[in-house]
Amino acid sequence: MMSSDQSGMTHTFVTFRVAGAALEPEAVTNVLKVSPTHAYRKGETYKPGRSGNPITARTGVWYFSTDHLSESPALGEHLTYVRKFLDDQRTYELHELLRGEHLTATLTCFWHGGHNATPPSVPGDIKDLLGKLPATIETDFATDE
Amino acid sequence: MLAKMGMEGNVLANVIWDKHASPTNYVSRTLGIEHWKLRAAIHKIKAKANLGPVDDVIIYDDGTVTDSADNEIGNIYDEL
Repeated sequence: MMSSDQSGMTHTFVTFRVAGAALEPEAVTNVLKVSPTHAYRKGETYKPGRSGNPITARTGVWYFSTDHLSESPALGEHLTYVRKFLDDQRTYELHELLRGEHLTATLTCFWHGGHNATPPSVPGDIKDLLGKLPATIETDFATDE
Repeated sequence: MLAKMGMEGNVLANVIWDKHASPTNYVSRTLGIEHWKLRAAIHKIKAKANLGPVDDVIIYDDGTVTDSADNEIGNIYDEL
């Protein structure tokens, strides 16, 4: 699954987020025992990046991304991070938090491969795991044209 | 061409993508980045803003990304 871009690599990462008007980011951090890549409450003003203007958040978001944690082209390796912080106990606790605070959870999988590369598939155990929360799974797979 | 205007009516940036589809190679060429990097940056910006794959975004030639209501949600160059 190698791509034909200039670096000669397939590019992959996953993100996991919890969102909702009542989100308190520390509550998610305390359950998952991992620091978010980015987090804010509804109504909080934050800068989306170095060059952006301040934004007032319309909903709360706790966001975790593997893009700076691993350069592996294997989707499964990036999903290992999600498996680590979603063990049985934490999955149960997050499920309760989502239900109690009317929050949503979403896993996104990014993959970009070469012209003839075959996109990966999301493993069944991840689908089962996220189904317990429940969480939506979004895939963003594409190849070079 | 749609544009982002400054306080004095000057053009700050021009829209280079506002369609209901994935941005084309034209957009990555205009921003001077590889296409996969554009895709990855948009993916992260939308995820941080709690937007999904069906939500449209607008991209300006200075890298600014807004949601469909033109609220700024990030900048491509911040995600590279």
